[in-house]
Amino acid sequence: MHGMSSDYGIKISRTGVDVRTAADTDLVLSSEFVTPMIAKVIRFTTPGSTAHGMGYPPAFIGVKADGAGGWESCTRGYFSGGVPAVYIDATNVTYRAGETGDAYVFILVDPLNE
Amino acid sequence: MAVDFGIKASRAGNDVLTAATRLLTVTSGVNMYKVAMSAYGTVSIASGASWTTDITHNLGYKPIVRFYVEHPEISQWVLAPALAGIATGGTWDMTCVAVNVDTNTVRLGVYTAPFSPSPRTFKYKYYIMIEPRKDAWYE
Repeated sequence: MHGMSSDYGIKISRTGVDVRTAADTDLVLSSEFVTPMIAKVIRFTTPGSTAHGMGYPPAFIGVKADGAGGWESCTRGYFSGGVPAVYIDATNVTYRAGETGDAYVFILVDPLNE
Repeated sequence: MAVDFGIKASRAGNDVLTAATRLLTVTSGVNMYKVAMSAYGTVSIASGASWTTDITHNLGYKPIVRFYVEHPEISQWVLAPALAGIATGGTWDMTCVAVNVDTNTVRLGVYTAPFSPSPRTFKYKYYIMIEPRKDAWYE
């Protein structure tokens, strides 16, 4: 909490940093900034669509097995053809047909359509 | 006995004194994403045309950015960078990207292949994080 200004909230700094003077980049969290929250994690072992249950299109982050023992983002950029492995709508999250390996989709609380 | 200061909270049902990091909801020892700014918007784009917009964040460094766009034909949201459309159930492609122009500006872009009817309304949402693209702290 701030001592001088009439500002209210909570903030936590990283270990070893004075929370009263910490730069925003040295904070763990602050009521001044939204912290993305994970509503659920959906695992795919094969391509397909499944209901995410959020009632709106939620923000998401996906990762998938890369077939070489590692993991890659479900966004590919141009160097891998660019086609996203995961996409979402208000009802379902889809792991694209033709993909191989497991995928995990982190469904975030925040809606995309507002 | 080591002296350590900070705060941590564990998930329900887990002893905070012994819980593994993955079973914590927050700890001063682990960084968390913080959203510096975000916005939802819509834009009308004509067939084959492109759209870009610059977002001024004034952070003084290049931050992590997440940019989501809905392909209007198939009503599916993708996370940039992405080439979405034909390979995801539609009949025409769009490409969406987000780039750091400089340490204070992010540029969002949507590029489209020809489509009909035209124009179409694209929905998008972006998140600009406090965390820098490079050298964000972690413990």
